[in-house]
Amino acid sequence: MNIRNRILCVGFFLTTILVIGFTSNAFALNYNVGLKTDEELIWNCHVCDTNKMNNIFGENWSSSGLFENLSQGKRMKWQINTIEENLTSISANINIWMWNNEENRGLYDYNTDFPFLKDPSHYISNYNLSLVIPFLPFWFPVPVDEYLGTLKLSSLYDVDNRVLPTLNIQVNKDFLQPNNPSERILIIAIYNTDGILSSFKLYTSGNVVVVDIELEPLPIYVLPATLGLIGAFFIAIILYVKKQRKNQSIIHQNDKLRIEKNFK
Amino acid sequence: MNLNSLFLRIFGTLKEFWKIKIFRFAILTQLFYFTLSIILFFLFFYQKNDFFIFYESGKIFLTDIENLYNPTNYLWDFRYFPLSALFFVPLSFLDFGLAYILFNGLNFILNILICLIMFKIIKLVRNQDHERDDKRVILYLSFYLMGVPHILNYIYGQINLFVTFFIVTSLLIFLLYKKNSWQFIGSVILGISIIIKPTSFLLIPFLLIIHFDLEKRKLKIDFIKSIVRLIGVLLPVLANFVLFFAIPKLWGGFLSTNFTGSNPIALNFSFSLTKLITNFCFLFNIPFNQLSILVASVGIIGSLGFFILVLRRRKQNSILYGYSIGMLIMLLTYYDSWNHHLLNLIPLMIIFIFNLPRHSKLLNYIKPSLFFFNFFDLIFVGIWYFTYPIFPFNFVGTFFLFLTFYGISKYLIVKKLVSVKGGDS
Repeated sequence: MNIRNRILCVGFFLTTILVIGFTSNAFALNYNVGLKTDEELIWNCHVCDTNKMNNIFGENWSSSGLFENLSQGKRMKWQINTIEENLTSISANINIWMWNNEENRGLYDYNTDFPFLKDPSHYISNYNLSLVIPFLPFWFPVPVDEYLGTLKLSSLYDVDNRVLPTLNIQVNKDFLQPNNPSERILIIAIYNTDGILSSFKLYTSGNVVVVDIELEPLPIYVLPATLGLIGAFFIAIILYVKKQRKNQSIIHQNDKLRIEKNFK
Repeated sequence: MNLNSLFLRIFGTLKEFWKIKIFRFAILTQLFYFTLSIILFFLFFYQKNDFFIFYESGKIFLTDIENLYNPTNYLWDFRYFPLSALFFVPLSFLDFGLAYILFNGLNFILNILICLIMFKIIKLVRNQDHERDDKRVILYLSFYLMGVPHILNYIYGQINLFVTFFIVTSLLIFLLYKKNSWQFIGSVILGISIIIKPTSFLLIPFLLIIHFDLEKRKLKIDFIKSIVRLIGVLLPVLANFVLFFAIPKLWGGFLSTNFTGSNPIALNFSFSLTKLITNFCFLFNIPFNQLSILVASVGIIGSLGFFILVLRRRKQNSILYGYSIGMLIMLLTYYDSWNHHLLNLIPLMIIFIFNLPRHSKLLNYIKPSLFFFNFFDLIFVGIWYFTYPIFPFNFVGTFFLFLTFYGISKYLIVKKLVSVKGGDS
């Protein structure tokens, strides 16, 4: 390729990049629903310090909302009925069996619609997702990290979507009303790639966990991947050490032979 | 030396490198990373990368500096010193896409310059029993250029290469010139790297010229040079504190995003020891204070590294060991040590390999770690996403950081070095 052709190629490459650069501003994300119709979701409450929650939010914190009747060891079930989308909004209609210990749950407790605007930038600035505990929804449209990142949330919220889509919520003392909450609390909520809440932890000062909720079951690949990783690491170490020892013994043997040869 | 002759020398050296096949391959790899990052940027990561934060910070620095650390201004938090935003002011005047391409083009050029500076340093510190030709040096420089951490560095539009460039430049100055004026210039350059990104912050204590002679049981301190270096490095860093003093809201934001806020608690794939501990506490609901864990880790590992350097038996090139140990301490102890941060460590490891005797047994610690960091660490970031619900520990990188720390410490402390070929070297 002669110099003129090279310059032409480089010029073409740079021009293409520039054109892409100036046109890509028009590129807009399309948000969808990660939930599937008839899908069942179950959350398990691993930790719930009821006394502490009573102290922080008063006796009525578990009388309504998504934490209704919450206590340690209980589970909440959702069944997705319908998913509706139009130009401006997306909505899921969900049957909810609130927190309880029973396996045979019978008829659902509530049937609720959870709507979201399709374009998160259409929400107002300083937006609060919810002003009752747990202060957040249990699902978001996907891609959830983009959706969270685009929302202009109030100072209550801090979105950290660098690695896992995470919503950090810091509620200061007396935020809801005098002495409610009675101390500063911190919530860390992690969402999975389907936009479903996978982990919820509520902390008080000193990072003491008061509520810990987790989506179950874990994805099927988690356990084999973990065992594979730990196993492979130890096997690699053992093989490396063995190889080094073998090399050492060969070197020592060669040295011995060389010394004997020199001696003779 | 004028600018023209400097350029001629640079091109002359690069021409020599170009004759080696693997270097040509390394440059092609870099170009591939560069192109890939641009394609991925426009297809998937447009306004979803670190460069977007830097770009926005440049704008906010000019228009609304009080809110520089306000998380609502960014997709994810701006966590650096306020003056680092100043570097991005010129780029923030350009169209975002164009600024990203220019910035990554600059990253590519910086990589070439880093290689040239590494080459110069290796020539200065290379142990006598190494090959006299430069083929092996060029091979390792090519390894650096082919390094997988460059992929994320380009894609995110990260600023690690600026930090590396200033670190190796200051290292070269310290090794080349002994005059106090040059010591000052070298440390100011290191200070600039800290402004850009505080990754090199823990290199500061290792600028002190202090040595306890174990044989003579005598403590030696070069007081003047140490002070000159400290003043030099702290001047650029303290310039940020002028801003903090003038705009107190900035100080609160800086502390919150870096140390006390919810960011340091969040679960992520950082391979730092501190993050492994906080992830452990997060997983098992153990109450913890993230700042206490950070302070304890820095205190224990930092003081261990510092005492090892003070008690060293090798007197030559101590600044190289200081830089290496300081960087290792930073990566082991700060909350977020990610794959692309390794670009600050890998050049120091390569220089260290050439400083060690050619067949030293210590290479058994350093070389596997180098190859792990340069080629395999990113795989474990991917694996973390599969295991994090029950095992959120990216521990393999931590293991190799400790292995390197052990290797360097052993080199500094032991009386005689054992060679792989048998006998001492």
